[in-house]
Amino acid sequence: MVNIEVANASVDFPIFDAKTRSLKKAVLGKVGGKIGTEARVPIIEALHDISLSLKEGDRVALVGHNGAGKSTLLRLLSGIYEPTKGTARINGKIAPVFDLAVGMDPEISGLENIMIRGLFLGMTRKEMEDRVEDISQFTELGDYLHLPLRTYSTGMRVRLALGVVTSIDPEILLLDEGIGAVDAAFMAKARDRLVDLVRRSGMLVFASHSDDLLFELCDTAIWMDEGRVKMHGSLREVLTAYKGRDPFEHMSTETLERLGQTG
Amino acid sequence: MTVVHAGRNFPAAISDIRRGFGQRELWAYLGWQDIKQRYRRSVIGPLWITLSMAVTAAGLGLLYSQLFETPIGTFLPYLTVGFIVWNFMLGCMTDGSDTFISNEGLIKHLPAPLTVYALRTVWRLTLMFAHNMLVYFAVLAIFFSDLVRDGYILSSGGALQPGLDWTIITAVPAFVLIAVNGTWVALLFGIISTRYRDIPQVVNALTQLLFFVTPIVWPVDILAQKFKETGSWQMLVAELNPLYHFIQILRAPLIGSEQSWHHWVVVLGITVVGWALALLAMRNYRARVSYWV
Repeated sequence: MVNIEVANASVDFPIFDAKTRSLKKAVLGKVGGKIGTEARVPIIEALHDISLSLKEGDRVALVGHNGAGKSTLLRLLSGIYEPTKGTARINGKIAPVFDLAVGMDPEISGLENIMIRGLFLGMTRKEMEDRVEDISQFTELGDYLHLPLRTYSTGMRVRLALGVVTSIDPEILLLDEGIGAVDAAFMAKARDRLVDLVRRSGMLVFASHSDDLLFELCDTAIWMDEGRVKMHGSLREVLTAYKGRDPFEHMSTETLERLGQTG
Repeated sequence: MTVVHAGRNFPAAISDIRRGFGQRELWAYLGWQDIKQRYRRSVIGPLWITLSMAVTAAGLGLLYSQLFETPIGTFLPYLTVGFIVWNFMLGCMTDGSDTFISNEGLIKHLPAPLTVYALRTVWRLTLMFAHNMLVYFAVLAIFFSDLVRDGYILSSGGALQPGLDWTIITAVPAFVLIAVNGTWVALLFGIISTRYRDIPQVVNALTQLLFFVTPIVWPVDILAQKFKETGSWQMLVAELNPLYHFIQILRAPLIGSEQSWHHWVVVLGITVVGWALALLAMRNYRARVSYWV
């Protein structure tokens, strides 16, 4: 069974500046004794007392201002950050697509990056080799896959990352903003695959500032504010509260029906 | 399934190590990528590893065999093997300290056991070791007749060595044992270095010194010749140096010099203590590494 249970979880980042990050303070700081308070490392509370329960089939939008904790929450849900207080239980095969500028190696080819991502997400080399054809077709990257990743545009990187995660049948898909960099035609294609994936056996958590993408992919939403969950409910309710107006009000009935927002 | 609790526990640390070893295809691929990428667009590629080792070994071997008035036919293989083993251990210490720092991007973007990164480092070094072994085989072919002779010497007036024989096979478990130690070094040094960024510099500074105090370019016989009669502390320079024992368990069988079980005992002892420390570090700080990188 695919689910995520987060209970009273907090994520606190220690901020080491150049000085406190060295041994000097830890060793010398104790000798003096008096400067104890100065030697303490400042902490940023990125997430505070988060409790969440997500289950199979959930398609959750993460909204909130910059720095509200959306990306950190995604990393908590992926198991990259273990909570400093509280617990997080994650059942299911996780596939994250975060900042694509950092998570991939620019010097190696697209194919090698596909292989590395696949292996990280728990696939074997054989399984990935079988999927390369499918990924190549879906991403429409063709011969580009043999070139180093530094020659790719942002949109092409997104295509590659989405190609990998949608080809390996993950159960929990975690998408950070940035996947909006692809063109409309590809997004329509990716949407079908993502929705299909979630329907088959999964869960999607998607952080974005793009309402259009959220309408297409999500049906519920979490509003993050200053590291806390401010609101958790249906997409329409949360977006209305977050934006101060109903984002669906000017849509045609057809669009609403397609998005499953009627009634 | 992943169950993540705040706090420190051994099961999570052990599970990390177990899953890390399990993802063999991942770290093997990453380690091989490291080698491929370093020599990308160069004509002879990873053979540069072999070539630079060959040049160093030949140069130092010729020079030091003259300085110490040792027979080159046995001293050059001694120095070559010592240098190859040293390079592996040096990598475990220096690259090991950088293990998590250099994988920052991956650690923050893809969930994986930390052990994967330590094994990536050790596997890369193992591949480099394999390339360097080509130099050993060349040296072995050239000086074979010197090395198989029973009673050869490494330096004039030094101990008689038994010569190459079937005991060369103990080199295999010896290397495995050194690599197993390299893994705890990468985990432990990696965790400490991620928190305290001065540690990689300390390691770099100390390894320079360690290279010269370890019997690599000089034969250990010299100590006995110089200080045996006085029985002074200088005799212990080699014995008190843990790296000497590591080098010796692999070098002795490869060049057919006298093997001694006490080196194995020391190395096994360090293996146990080292892994215990690494486990403790994993228990306490494994979950903190992604916060620290």
